[in-house]
Amino acid sequence: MKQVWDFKSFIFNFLLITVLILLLAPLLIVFISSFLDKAHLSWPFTDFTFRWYVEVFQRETWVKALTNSLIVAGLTTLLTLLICTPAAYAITRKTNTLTGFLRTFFMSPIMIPPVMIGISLLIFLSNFGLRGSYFDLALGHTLWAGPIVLITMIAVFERINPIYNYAAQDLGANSLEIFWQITLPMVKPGLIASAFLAFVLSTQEFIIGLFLYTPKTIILPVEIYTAIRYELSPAISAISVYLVGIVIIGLFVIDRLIGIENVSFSGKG
Amino acid sequence: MTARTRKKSSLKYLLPAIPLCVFTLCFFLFPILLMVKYSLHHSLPYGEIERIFTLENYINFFTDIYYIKVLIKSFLLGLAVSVVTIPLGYIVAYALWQSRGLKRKILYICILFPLFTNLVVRLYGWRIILSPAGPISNFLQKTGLAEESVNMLFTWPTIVLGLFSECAPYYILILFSVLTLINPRYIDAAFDLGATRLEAFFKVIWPLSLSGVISGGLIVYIWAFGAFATPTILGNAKHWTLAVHAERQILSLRDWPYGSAFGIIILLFTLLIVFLQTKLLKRKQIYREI
Repeated sequence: MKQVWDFKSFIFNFLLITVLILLLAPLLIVFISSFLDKAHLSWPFTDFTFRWYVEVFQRETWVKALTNSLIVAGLTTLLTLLICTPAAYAITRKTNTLTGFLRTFFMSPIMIPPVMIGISLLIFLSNFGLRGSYFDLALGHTLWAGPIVLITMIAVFERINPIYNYAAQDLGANSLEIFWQITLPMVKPGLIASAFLAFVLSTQEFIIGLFLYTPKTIILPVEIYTAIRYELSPAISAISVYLVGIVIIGLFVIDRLIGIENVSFSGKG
Repeated sequence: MTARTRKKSSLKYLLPAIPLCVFTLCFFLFPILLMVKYSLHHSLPYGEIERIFTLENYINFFTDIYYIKVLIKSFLLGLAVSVVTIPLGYIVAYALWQSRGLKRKILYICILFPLFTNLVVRLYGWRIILSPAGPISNFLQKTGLAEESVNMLFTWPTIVLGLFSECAPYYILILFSVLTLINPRYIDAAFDLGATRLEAFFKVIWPLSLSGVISGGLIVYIWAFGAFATPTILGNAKHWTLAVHAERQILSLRDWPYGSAFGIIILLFTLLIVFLQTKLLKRKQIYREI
């Protein structure tokens, strides 16, 4: 059935590649420009160097922002895993209106523009005098990462054959024992992948961070946002590449653990 | 285990969901309600707030022709981004669905990588590409298509492009998850009955994937309507959406009641769009059952 020259599939493939280029071009140009041996970015790109990758660590504000990002991401990961793992376990036990409602309810933070989360949390935290700690940012990031991690975890829990649970039940285990001794070991790779997912999502989040940061807790995306208002430079590109590097490592680990195809965004969302 | 004991502890299985429930209530729902309350207060100079009940923030918004224009601009921006993203994203979702093995993995990474990468970095990339000293401007000058350097930043098409590259990965994955639910036998049946590939697509695949197009398109619309980063980084004051103005009111002007009102207005319009979508989906389902 396959034709040698098919005009329709040519158009299809052309559009496909165009979209993929549009998705990847900005990242590619940031990567290339980080090696440029000039103080400011201008085309053509000639004279390449590695020095920016070392020099960015001499800027104290950037090192601090990077450290803060990692601290916040660590807290977010911890918080997300602690509250989302049991929730994902609970709502995959049964399929009914209640669990359906809970799914939608838990997804609602990512269904509204993130600016709303930023504003409302800022007002909330200020109202109770809680501004200025890493925990503020972790709260905001958990609202963002939590729903996405939850979808992934639900997929992980749903893949377990319930027969193991029934077997444990018949052998006299209570529900806590079943979760701790049967389910948890089986979902361990999924949970580790979820931890990486939460970590990556937190390091890359920007808008909620913009509302909640204080000079002491400024995170890297906000720092980059302030920097690119005044200049486009290879140094900014280099620090951006470090930030993107976290995504690459994260995606690689997730792929090894559960397969990249299992990171999904359900249409039911 | 008998049915009776199961019934007795019928809600016990939901106990582990309580922490997330409490979390979402405390740090999502309650702050939004607090925001509603703030939007009904009166603001004094220097960020002070008079805690009285007033509708003045909303009245001020809807009687200010400038903000009405911003609202309309945000609407149109959301529409433009959806119109671009829905067909182009469909192509990628379709290719992903049709692919197998290594090709699928590569496509998946091409979509997930930009999706996860920090938005500011991606927009910074667009700034480099589209700036007057960037590669496109340089190319146009060299080939004689442009006399002097071209600044493509701070224009509407650039903002649509930026939002497209921001929203498309989400749309593609949502649509893909719906496409995977389609039974391949339906398509085989269409071919057996003599349909061409285009006919099979429009008569079988498209109607079955419509719910994905609608819910994915909805996410795109909501995000483009409430976009913040793209209009600030790729645009100037002329292109600011409602969300950017909300941020200015809150962070720069320190007028929290007015800023909250902006936020609530965004939220109300978002909910209105979601409501319309569920209506649309229901009608489609009825249509399909007939």
